[in-house]
Amino acid sequence: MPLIEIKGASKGYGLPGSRTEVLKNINLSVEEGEFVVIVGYSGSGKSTLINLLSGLVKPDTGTALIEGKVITEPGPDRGLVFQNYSLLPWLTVEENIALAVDEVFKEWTPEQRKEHIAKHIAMVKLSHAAQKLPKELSGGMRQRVSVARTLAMNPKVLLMDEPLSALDALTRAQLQDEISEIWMSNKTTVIWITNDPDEAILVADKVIPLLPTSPATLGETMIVDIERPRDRKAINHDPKFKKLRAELISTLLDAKGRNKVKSSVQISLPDILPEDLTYTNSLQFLNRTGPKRRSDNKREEVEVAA
Amino acid sequence: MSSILPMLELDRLWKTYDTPKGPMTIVKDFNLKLKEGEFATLIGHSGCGKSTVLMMVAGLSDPSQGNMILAGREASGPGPDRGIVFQSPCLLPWMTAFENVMLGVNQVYFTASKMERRQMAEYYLAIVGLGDAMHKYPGELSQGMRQRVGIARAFALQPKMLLLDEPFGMLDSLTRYELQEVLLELWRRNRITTLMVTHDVDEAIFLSDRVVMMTDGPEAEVGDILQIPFERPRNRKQIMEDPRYYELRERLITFLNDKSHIRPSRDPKFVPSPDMAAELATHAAPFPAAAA
Amino acid sequence: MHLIQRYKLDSIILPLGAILVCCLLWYVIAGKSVITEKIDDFGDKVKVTRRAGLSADLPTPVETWTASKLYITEPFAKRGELDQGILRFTWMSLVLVVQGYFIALVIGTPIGFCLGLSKKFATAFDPIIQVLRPVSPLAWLPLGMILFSGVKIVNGDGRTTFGASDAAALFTIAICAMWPTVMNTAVGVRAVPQDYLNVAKVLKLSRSKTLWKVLVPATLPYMFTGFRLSLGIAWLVIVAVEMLTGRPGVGGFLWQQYNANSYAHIILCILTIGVVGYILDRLMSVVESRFKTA
Repeated sequence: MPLIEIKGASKGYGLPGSRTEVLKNINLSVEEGEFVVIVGYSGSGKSTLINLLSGLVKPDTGTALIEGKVITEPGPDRGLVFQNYSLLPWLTVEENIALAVDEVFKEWTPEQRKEHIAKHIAMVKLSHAAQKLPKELSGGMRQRVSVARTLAMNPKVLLMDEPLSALDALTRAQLQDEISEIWMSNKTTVIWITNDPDEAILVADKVIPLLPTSPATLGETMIVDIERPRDRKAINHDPKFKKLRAELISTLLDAKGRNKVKSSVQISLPDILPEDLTYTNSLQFLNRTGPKRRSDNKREEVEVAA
Repeated sequence: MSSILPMLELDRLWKTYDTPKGPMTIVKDFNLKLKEGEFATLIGHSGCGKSTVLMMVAGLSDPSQGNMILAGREASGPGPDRGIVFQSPCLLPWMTAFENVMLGVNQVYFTASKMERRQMAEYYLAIVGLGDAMHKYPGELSQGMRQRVGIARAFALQPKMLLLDEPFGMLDSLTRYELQEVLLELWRRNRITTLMVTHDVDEAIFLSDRVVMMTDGPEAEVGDILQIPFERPRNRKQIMEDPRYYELRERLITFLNDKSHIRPSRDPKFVPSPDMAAELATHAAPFPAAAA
Repeated sequence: MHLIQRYKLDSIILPLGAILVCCLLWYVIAGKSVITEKIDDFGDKVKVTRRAGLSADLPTPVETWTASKLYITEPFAKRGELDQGILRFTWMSLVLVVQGYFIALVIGTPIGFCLGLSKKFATAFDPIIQVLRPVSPLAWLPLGMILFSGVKIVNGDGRTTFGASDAAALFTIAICAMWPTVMNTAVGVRAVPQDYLNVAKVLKLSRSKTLWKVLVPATLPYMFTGFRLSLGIAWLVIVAVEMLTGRPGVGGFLWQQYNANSYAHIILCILTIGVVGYILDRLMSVVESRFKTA
């Protein structure tokens, strides 16, 4: 039985009449220990998808299940990591994590909890910064705290909604590697949503494109059959990587192209040439009335997105 | 070497800033020639001065030394003969997309009829995919849409040169791919000589004819040059499946990771690559600093 | 739906409750008429009414209402030069405020632009502005009287329609209300993003086009914040001006009633001034927010 699953779900927003369908006929099934990345355009319903899994949003049709049970509300068995780090600014790294741990593991002794917290801080390599406040940390470090806090609640599945989108390229690369590493050591099930195809192939077992049709649907699953640990430089020579990358990017771009309702309109490009504004006072404008032209008017047909 | 005059000639360009610790040279002896209709890209690490070079060509920053010759004339000060697309499209938020384009169109086509000017703006907005949204305000458009307006605005003026300063830097990867194709589509229709600045290796390869790699700053100069051999019009899928693609990518990444600190003008052991040598041959004294 | 209803109810009931509490406090503090019986010198019993309380002369809310009723129920009545309906007084004050305010904007906005655009201009005039800014309207008015002492516009009947005191009043309102407009416009011009100016430079827009197409629209939100603050000040100044010049208006009425020991009317004036000021501020905020979104 898959750990977490969506069956024939669709979701739309708004009242009848002005309703926009966001997702249609979504089927997703993730086994325990899998690392699944869903890639899609911004604004194409990615967040709605993760909200279906977290229980923040209920599907209009179909169901979302965890271990066979219908998901009705958020729970500690599904850990969420967002793009913004949602740390409490007046608490240190340790206290931020303790807040979550104390809530979930009430029956543990204080020593057990302390050890558990320390273990997770060490896991994201922040032991040296355990007593620092969020504002003293860089964006990358904050997101690591956020990951540690989520993992410390021992969730059955980690749901990550564009966790690295707010970071610069260098930090992003670093965190991709670190999260892959952590995943290799504890094999928590991960569902990660991103808009970066390279990131997807680098970290995932399975990549699923979210096609920007209207409403959005999931594309065919692509298995990333590349040995771990993956070296981001060496991977460029891997024919499997090159093939997957080309396939994924063109799938997403083609879907966008197909989605456009093509309509032809006649628009004409007037044949006029720009004036030289360096010498506006010169005599060049006096001996002609109209603009400079290249030739006769040309008309062409252009396809425009409707 | 070539008999036709280059569209843009940068000759021993310097940019020095005065800082409290004394003068700081950002760009030193920067030489480059662009042929008419060429799409060249400057690539380098952030802070290497690639944007400084672009801003000097744009006329928004004055070079401390050296010459810039645009279409046979000394270029000084900004002007609509060089269309610029910035990282953020900087549209005026109180005007619609159409009015933003018209602002420039009215300016450079002031001898044309009102009808022709309107058609001009409408044409370019339609091509970038804003046919239906051209009367929206920037605030109502997504980041990607706004950048489309920025691109349309630059092309609609039919400038002698197009200057792109990390035009897709603020967009997510997929939107970036889309806009790269929009840009190529416009460029296919009107091959304006273009100088682009980016740090995205894939973007550089997909769009340009020649990639100019810059050494690390300060005192940045041209470190290496790479000719991109792909035919136009280009198709992303075909290019990504081309074995040469990953070779080119590898060369650029290797330069950025391992070689960007080597300054050709000061390294006696420097051996230029064939593409770099071809460029050097067009300059009378490519390394005046070394000669002095 | 339920939540919205409750929110609306709250937003009415809570302020009403607070008003009630304030009235109660007022009642407690206010003086009350106390009637005592007293044997006078002739041995007769007489009733003596005297006021007692924390602030004996302060009328209670009910007394205030009874005394002011006439001014509110007949807001446009004119019984004499200084005995008119409250809205009639308000209208007179507003006309003067609008005139002075308009002068303030016409003078203040260009000064603000100059300050924002030219560093030299700013350095030269900043000290003068900083010194003049905190000067009270009470101090400006006498100067205005001196400056415009010769002003006299006489109508056909030989009555002065616009005299030195009117000119001085306008002068005072304008010069006091001008500063927020000046300062905010200057800040707004300095805050125009370099990107927008680059657009103007690259397109080689002419100076007037740069001003009207780029600078003014970019500064508008700041300018309107200034305009709103200026209107608030103009309304503050009017009371002082009317008191000193004795012009008919809310402020003049207030002062005259104080001198006439008619304390209930003072409270009426204060409330009117407050309500009108609030309405003006709301109106300007609506205009301001429209420019903010653009």
